[in-house]
Order: sequence, then C-alpha cells, then structure tokens
Amino acid sequence: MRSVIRAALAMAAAAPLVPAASADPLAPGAASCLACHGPGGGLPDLAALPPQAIEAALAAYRDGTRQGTVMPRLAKGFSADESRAIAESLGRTGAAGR
Amino acid sequence: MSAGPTRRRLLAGLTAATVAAPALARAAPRVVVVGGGFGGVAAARALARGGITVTLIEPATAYATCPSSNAVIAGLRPLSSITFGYDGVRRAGVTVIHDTVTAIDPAARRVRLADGGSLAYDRLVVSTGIGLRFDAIPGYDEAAAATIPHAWKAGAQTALLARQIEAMDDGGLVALTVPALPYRCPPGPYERASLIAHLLKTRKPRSKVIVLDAKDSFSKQPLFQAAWTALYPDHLEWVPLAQGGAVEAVDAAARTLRTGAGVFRPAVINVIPPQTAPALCLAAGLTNASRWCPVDPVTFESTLQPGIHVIGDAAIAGAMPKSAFAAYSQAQVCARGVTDLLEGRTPPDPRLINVCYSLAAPDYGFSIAGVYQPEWDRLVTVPGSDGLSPDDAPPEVRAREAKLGRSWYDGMTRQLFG
Repeated sequence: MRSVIRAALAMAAAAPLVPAASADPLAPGAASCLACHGPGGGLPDLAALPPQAIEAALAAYRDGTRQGTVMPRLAKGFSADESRAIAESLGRTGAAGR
Repeated sequence: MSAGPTRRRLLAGLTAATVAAPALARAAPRVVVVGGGFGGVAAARALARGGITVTLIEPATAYATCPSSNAVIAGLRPLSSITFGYDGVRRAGVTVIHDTVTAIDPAARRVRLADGGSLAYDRLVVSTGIGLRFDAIPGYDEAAAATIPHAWKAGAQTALLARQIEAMDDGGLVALTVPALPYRCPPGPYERASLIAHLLKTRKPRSKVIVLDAKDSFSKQPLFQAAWTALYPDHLEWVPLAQGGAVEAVDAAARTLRTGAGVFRPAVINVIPPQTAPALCLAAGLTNASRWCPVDPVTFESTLQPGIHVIGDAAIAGAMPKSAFAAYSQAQVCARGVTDLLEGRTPPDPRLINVCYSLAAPDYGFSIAGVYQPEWDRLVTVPGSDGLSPDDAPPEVRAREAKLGRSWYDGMTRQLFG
C-alpha cells in the first residue's frame, strides 16, 4: 500500500507542467536546417524528400563527391549517424511532420 | 480481506488528486519572449508549436530586418520590402503585445511594461538584439544619430542613410566607420560599403566610399578585397586601424570625422558605433564585464540570472557570430531547452548552424558557414565544418550565392512573419 502511494505521489511530482502534446523532438541540428530547407523557400523542401535521399546527399557532400556552396562545409559538421538522425527527423514522414 | 475496498477508494482519491493538481495548483507555464526580431519570433513560434503558452513583447508594430537593409541603403529595394507585421506570428498561436519592457525582476519572475502593467513568467526569453554605445565616440551621441545615421538597427535609420546617399551630388565622399569586434553582423559593414560603391559606380561615378576601420582584419576579408579590386578600384577605399582608420571623434555640426589618418569632411557619414547588450539586459544583471550576456550553451539560460534565457546578438555565443541565422538557430535550441526544463527533462546536447551570405554587388555573393556544439561552458566550431566560399570561384558561383542569399531571406521571413 505504502509503495503504491509513493509511486502515485512520485508520478504527481514528475507530472509535466504542460500536456505531453509537444512536438516530437528533432535530432540535434535538424531544426536549424529548416532555416533554408522549409516549405516554400527556393531550396529543396526536406519534408518532400525520402530520408534515405537526404542521408545520401549529406554523405556525398561530406566526402566531397557532391559539389555545392555551403553544404560541403555544413555536412562536415555531422557524423554519418548524426546525419541519418537528421534525415529521419526532417525527411518525408519524419518527426518534423509537416 | 477488507484491504481491497479501502485500497480502491484510496487509489481513486489519489488519481483524482493527481490529475487535478497541476491544473489547480499550477496553471500552464507561461513563457514570455522579449523582442520580435529573428531570434524572438523564431523562439516564440517554436514554443507555441510545442504547446507552450507564449507571449511576445515587441514595441514596434512593423519590424524592418537588418538582413537586406544594405540593399535598401544602396537603392536596390524599398524599405517596405524588408518590413514585416506580426499578424502571421499571432496566427501561429503567439500572443503579441506591442509594448516596451522597461524592467525585468528576476527574483519576482515578472517583466514591467511601459504602459504600467506587468507580466509574470515561468521562463523568460530575451532576444533584444544590441544596444548602441552613444558614449564611446566623442561627439557621436543619440542626437548626432539624427543627422549622421548609424543604420545599424533597420527602419528609419536605414531610410535616412539611403536618402542622404541618394541626394548626394556626384563627386562626393561617403565615409563609413566600423568598430572593433564584437558587434552585430561582422561582415555587414563591408557588404554595405560594397553596395554603396556599386551605387556610386553606376550612378555617381565621380564619387567614392571610404571605410574607416578600427580593425586590421575583418570577416570574409579575402573575398571582399578580391571583389573590390575587380569591381571598385576607383570607388572604394579601406583604411585599416594600422593606417589610422579608427574614428576618434565626430563633429555633428561641422559634419567632420577625426581619425589617426586625418580629418575628413565627407558629404555623407555613416557611423557604426561600438555595441553592447541592450540597457534592459545591463539593468537586469544579465551582463558580465564585457557588457554582453553569458549563457549556458545547451539551453541559452543566463549563467547569472536563473529562469532567463538570452539568445541572438546580446548573448555570448562563443564561436557563433552575431547574425540573424545564428539567432534563428539559437532560438530553436533555446525553445527546446525551455520546453524540456518546463517538462522536467534534461535537454540534449545541441548542434547549431550559422550561414551568412554577403553581397559585393547585386549578382556577386559569397558565404561563411559553420556548425557549432557545446564544449563544457561555451559553443565551439565543429572541426572542419566552418569556412568561406572559395577564393577562386567563377562568376556563375558568385551569382548563384547571391541568389541563394535572396532565397534564404525570402524563405526565412516568410517562415517567421508569414
């Protein structure tokens, strides 16, 4: 009985201040990609691309097999795993969910 | 045997109390954002998207962006094209109040407004940009700025400088003074000089712009200097600190500038003064001896005043420059941090990005870019991620970067204000 009460109180204490309706968290760095790659800009809208395509593009920019302006520099700021997480956050059906 | 019913009653009571407690004892947390520029609007919209109740306080009903303001000064676009209202921000679920925050009380967790009212907050996001130091250059005070514009906050000052250049007779000298770092938009003065030189070359060809600099090196220097040699050999001159470029005094009545290199009497003067965090931040105890705001690199919470987060130009963001893109990136990270802290989670280590395009001419652009991460108490550049456009890029690449810069601006302002 006591443990039940303690568990219930612990839950009450840990209850979030706001409903857990918050958007799914994006992978580190992903939100900043949308400064250029959101909907309606002049650059590719990442939400319209499959995650695999984004991940492959980042890998190609990172290893120099794809040319570009700022992307060859920015892609070097993320490892293969970090790039995959970003692609999954922002690509079609990703956590950005637009 | 009798434990069953008792236990059920007790659990039922506990459940009711648990559900009701947050709603009764503590209403939904209130986040207040001060400042409606790139950082403040991006933070407010990100917080609202995450289900947080957020109020944005901004005195102006129309916001003129510093990015693209150099194009307005050079007559390439109207001020109206870089001016935005807040209807779109309201439609995104943010309560927008047009008022001035006159004081922050970190202990009471309240902000006072110029209209006499006040607002309570659970967490405060301060994105108020810069304060201009009108005590740093003898003779250049707020009154002097009415006739000798700084144009380092966009709007009426931008229009004033544009009008003065437009009205200048051919053969005149435009002087632009640049402070030491740190200041808002490190490459901005050089883009401004470039676009003014473009205007002079095309429309007032016997005129010239001179850059009087308090530094011996500057952002994107090789790219700017290559462009100046190619485009403006007769229309732009840069005087570094070592050659007496630092401005020592301004005489607003005589319209003269005193520097180590001599006294100038230009037709048009643009003084970009040294900068600081705004007075509101200094008064609230958010600044250290540098007059800027030290912050935690994961949440942008002030290291001096708990519960207050500082983003954008006022913050000490380590390797990140003071740029609109950086403010946007910091806003996303800060909104995540604020949300996580309010909901009892530990915010993850973030990654931040800066991209900044500059124009040397309308169709001649280049960029600096970098990725940043926390290293203990500061933000550092992720090795290999930072750098400038190549020195030897062909004209097509310069034209492409000019276009990319415009695309960024159009998409960003639509995202924030649309």
